[in-house]
Amino acid sequence: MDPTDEHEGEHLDGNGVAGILQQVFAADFTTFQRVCQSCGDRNMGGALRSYLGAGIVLRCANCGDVAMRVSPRDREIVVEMRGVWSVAITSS
Amino acid sequence: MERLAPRKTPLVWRVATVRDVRTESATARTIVFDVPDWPGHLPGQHVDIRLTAEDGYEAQRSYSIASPPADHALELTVELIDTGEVSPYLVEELQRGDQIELRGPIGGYFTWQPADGGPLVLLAGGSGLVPLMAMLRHRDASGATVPVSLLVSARALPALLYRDELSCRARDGVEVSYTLTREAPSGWTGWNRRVDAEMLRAVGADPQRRPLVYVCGPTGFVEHVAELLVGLGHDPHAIKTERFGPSGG
Amino acid sequence: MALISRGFRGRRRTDVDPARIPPGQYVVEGFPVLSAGPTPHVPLDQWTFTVRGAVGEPRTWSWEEFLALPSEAVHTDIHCVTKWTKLDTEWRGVSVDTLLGGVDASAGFVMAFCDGGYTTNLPLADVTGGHAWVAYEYDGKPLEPKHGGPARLLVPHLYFWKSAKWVRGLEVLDHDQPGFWENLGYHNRGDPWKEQRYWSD
Ligand SMILES: Cc1cc2nc3c(=O)[nH]c(=O)nc-3n(C[C@H](O)[C@H](O)[C@H](O)COP(=O)(O)OP(=O)(O)OC[C@H]3O[C@@H](n4cnc5c(N)ncnc54)[C@H](O)[C@@H]3O)c2cc1C
Ligand SMILES: [Zn+2]
Repeated sequence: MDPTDEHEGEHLDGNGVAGILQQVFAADFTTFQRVCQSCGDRNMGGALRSYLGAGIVLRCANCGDVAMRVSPRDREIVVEMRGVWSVAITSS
Repeated sequence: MERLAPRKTPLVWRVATVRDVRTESATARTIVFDVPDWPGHLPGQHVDIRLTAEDGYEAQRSYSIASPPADHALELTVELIDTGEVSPYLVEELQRGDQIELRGPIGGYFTWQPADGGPLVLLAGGSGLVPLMAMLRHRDASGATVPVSLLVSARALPALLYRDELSCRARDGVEVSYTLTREAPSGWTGWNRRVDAEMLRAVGADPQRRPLVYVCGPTGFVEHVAELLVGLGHDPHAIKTERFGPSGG
Repeated sequence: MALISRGFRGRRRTDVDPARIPPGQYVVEGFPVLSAGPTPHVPLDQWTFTVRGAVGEPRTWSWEEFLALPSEAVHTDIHCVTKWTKLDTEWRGVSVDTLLGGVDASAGFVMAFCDGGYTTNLPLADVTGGHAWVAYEYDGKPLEPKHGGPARLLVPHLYFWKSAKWVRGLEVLDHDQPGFWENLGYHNRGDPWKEQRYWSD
């Protein structure tokens, strides 16, 4: 498969932007569970689709609605989350 | 079965030193790094790399970890994108003894370990083979017997990664198949076309077998293969994907 | 302090007049593709452009009607809040003055709306007076979908997120209201020369 083939790729997976989000949560956001506010789909952060615009937009892979918006700046990172997220932090 | 869990260590930039470089194909090379205090990783995870020019300009990219957790050094395999900014530096410029910044491991979602079970179906486009190779290496290193079927799609023979190693690993429950999407040499016994449903069935990506399916490669490849898998009746939630972007090689 | 990577220079252009580069920006050769969502594919026979809101009767143009409006060639530099600047880009499009012609001056703002749900807000003063276009050609060719085609807003004196891709109309408002990125803390106006990236700038 060649990147110049027809199907031009426009998004990555949630996994592909996990580095920056790990700085925010100090935990691995790709394994957070999320229930979509629009379609009810339950999936993991790593399964979201990520788009890079002025900031990063993560969208539900099932319905395309916005799951998270991230704005990485020089001295801070602004994050907005939508839907129901459950975060399991194991203390070991 | 014992389960590896990534330790909770803050994600910090670490200075990695190039211990060795290895030619992996006509357009790719493997870079072996020494990373002090590396916290360990799971097969499938990646690192972020940060390059800084003298005037402070920075470029950052992600690269999958090719080496299995048990290895002492951290290996990345990078495919050259001629017009790229970072891959030409990593493939052509970086030398033994050089230092760069990296952080990781990142992304517990796209990982596999023996406790997750199988059978495993691994579908790789171009450099998308890298994280799947870490899974295969870990399976062998840990003595797991989970059946694995790996399909590797590449443009042409000289672009195939890890060829010798894969032919050694293709035994004891591991099957490796190839397809070349451009020209194939005479006498080529693999496929010579874009991945299609028939190919996926032939490598065991049949929903009845309930395989764990991992797809990795350029975004176009992953989109195409994921659509085919859903067409074969797979639950989209049972397919794990990792898109490398338009330039993932 | 970051570690310098021996021999790494990056791919940006360093041969340009610094006076053309707003603070904190670097110059790229290519045209990076940025978007907040998937590329929509609306057939041209279903495409329309609408001006509505505080303007009395809404006005709508079909694709054919839109192309029949007087158009202008625009040569300009563009600046993205993610810090890249691209010099000497060539566009063709319809001036927003033409589209808003005769709009009540008491209305002070517009909200651009787009396929895919994207929005961005602008003061009327920034999109009138020859400052903004709805562009459908780039470099002499139809604007590619990945760059916002069939048509995108072009407001080159502000950061490029204001130049909404896949734009389908302008809503004229008598009050300001934040758009998609503005309500996440991006600057309401976004002047690259004043480095107005975020609310706090
Ligand atoms: C999670 C993750 C893991 C990854 N793992 C790996 C890995 O293990 N190995 C690996 O090699 N890469 C990997 N990638 C991809 C990697 O991050 C870079 O995107 C890649 O190396 C290209 O970077 P670059 O700076 O060289 O190119 P860029 O400067 O980012 O982009 C090059 C530009 O050229 C265009 N282009 C790309 N290919 C071509 C082409 N063939 N012909 C013409 N134009 C082209 C692109 O559209 C782009 O505009 C991974 C990506 C992600 C998200
Ligand atoms: Zn949804």
